[in-house]
Amino acid sequence: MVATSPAIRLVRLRKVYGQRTAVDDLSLEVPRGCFFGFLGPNGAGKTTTIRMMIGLAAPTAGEIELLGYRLPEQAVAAKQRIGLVPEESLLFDRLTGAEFLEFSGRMYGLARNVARERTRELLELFELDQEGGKLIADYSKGMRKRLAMAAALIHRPELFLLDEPFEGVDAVGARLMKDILLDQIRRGATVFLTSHVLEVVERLCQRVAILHEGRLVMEREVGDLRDGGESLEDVFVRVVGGAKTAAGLDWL
Amino acid sequence: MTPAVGAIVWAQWRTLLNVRRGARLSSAALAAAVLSLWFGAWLFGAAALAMACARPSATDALRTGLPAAFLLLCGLWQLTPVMISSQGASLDVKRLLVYPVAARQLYPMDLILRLTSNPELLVLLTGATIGITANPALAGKMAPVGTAVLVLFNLCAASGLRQQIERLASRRRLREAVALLFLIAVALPQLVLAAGGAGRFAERIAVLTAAWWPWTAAARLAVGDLAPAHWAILLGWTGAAWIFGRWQFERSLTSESGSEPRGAAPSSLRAGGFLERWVSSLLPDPLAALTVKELLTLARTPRFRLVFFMGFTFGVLIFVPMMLRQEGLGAAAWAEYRLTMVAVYALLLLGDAVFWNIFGFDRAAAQIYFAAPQGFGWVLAGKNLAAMVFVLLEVSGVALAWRLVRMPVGFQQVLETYAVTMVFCLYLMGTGNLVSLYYPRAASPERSMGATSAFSVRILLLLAYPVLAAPLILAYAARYAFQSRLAFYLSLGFAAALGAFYYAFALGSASARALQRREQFLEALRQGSGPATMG
Repeated sequence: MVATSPAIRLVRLRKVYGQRTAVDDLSLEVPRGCFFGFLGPNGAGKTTTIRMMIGLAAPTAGEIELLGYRLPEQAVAAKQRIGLVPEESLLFDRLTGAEFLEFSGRMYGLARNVARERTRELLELFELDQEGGKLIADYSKGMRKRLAMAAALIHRPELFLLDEPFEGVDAVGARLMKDILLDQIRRGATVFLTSHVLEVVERLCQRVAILHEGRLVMEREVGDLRDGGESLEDVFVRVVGGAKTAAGLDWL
Repeated sequence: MTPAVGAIVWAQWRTLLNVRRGARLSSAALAAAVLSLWFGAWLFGAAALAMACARPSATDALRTGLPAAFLLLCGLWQLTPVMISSQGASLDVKRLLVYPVAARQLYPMDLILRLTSNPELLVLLTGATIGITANPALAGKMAPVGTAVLVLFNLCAASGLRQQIERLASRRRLREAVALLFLIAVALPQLVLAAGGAGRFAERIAVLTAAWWPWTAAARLAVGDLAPAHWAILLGWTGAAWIFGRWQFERSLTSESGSEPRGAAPSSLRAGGFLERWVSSLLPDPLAALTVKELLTLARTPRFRLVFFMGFTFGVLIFVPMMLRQEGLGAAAWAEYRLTMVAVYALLLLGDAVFWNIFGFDRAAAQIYFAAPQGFGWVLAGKNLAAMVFVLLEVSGVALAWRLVRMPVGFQQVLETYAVTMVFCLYLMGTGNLVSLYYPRAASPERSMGATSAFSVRILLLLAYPVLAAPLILAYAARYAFQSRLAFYLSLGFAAALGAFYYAFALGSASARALQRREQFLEALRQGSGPATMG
């Protein structure tokens, strides 16, 4: 909508489930064209944040603006421009890979012939063309992630929300996905990525934020980390707490 | 039709085709036969109704009785899905929410899918409408329009009501309270009616079939009274129901049932330690471990808790008013069977979770049963033992609720109820183990309402119940024939021995088949479906 607005703007975002605060006072701005890493230990609130951004969860307080569109008022317009790879599978198991991609394309407003043509090309790109006629239920975890990635690309979105997209994907598939994402960055799209594989984040992302117990505890350029001589893993462990050892468990 | 709705319809159509493609021929043929039999019977009923309504001699009866008949239809439309814990198809909104599609586009589609929650009533209504339209003594040409609007009213009201109940029921600690309140509200008219006696029945019906109700307006329109006031009333109610339904649908779109992280340990978690110690002191491992796991899992499953709770509340609330009325009519002969009837009804409610789809909530975790060193028979036995514990608790709950509403119940009746339900359980568990392996279906434990087995399987089981209950029916027949309780208990003992033999045979067979079919079995448990989901 407004080309100068940031790709993502979260203002004092908060999500409370009963007694527990999943996301607490999170303010974040991701500029357009940025490859952004959103990190945190398990249960830190990363997935809840993404769920709020795609409308699967309503914030308890705070504001969300994606590509200049305010949520939830302009959610349909925002979603039209978002490509999503969720952590949990939102695929339809009883469709084939080809059918699901065509369905996704049509849901994003592509004409049927365009959706079909892009489906064919994406299946080929992700080396799923041999499996295009198989039911998604018969796909391996890696194949499901590749299919979800293809579905996220089919409508040429401006913003990618990717929750653990490389989980279960083999090295070749992961390399392909990374190359595609870097291409998307070059054409001006924005990528918002969560991953536990810190080496990948360090290599791909320009900027990272670390969430711990629902609160933003660090946000920094990846280049600054390198200048400081620390790896992202070192910073991460330092920020979210020290590593435990199994030294006390004699039987182990 | 918008492009998004077109895409959803197309995807659901492909899903149905793919399901058929993947099904074994024998399963597909069995499902088709069962559905044909079931709907054949309803079609027969609808045809008979059409012929009856088409007779000129039925005109007066239609003029006076149709409002009450439509009132009954509306009541059943709203009530049946709750009674049988099945709500038909609906959009899998959680998966569709990520797409750029507005709620106003999805709501009409969700309404159309909700037609599947009451297909039998729809068949009967169609038959009656055809008959009324064909009746030469009635100017019933507008009957199809009037009944169509009444159907829309019911769809909207049912959709809104169920969305509201589901949302409330998805909130921890509120689920059972909401269910109880709803059940009391549903049963209240019955209780009031029963307390007032049969003599005041007509008076109460007159209030409920007054001119301002939508069913009365639809009935008047159907029989040819096309006064604008009737149109205004029917359309006004339908418009209000549409707004209510859509409002609830939109609220459900933004609700987050089942997605909340766990907070403080609920009481069922704290009770786990006691349960584990108790079962472990009685049984050896791995049976004790499997039984405890099953007891804890079911106790923490909202959907199971709801049907368990319904078993001893809904059963009592539904049957007590009926029995109070019977008392007035002097039908005391059934008195001694009442408690057993309510307990057996409770077993039917528990059926999905503890008999027919016992792996439904296990989903992908069922893989552990094949990876662990114990035989699969232990798994089934553990699940069956847990089922028995819950059935015993359920029967105790029914008996207690019975006492609370001051219904007469003696030691003999309670003993008989325990004995009959335990013997019936042997047959249900034996059959259930096989059905659970052949027709497994993934179910969401967080959803409070909805059936967990396929529609055709439920129909098949409904038809199978009389067969499974045959040994018990024979025991009651012996009691009636010999007028002897001893004859009854001897026959019941024989039924128990036969049931034990049947159970052991079915358990062995199910264990062997589990190993042979493990891939299909695990795959079926892992799967979701298409844009629409059955509940």
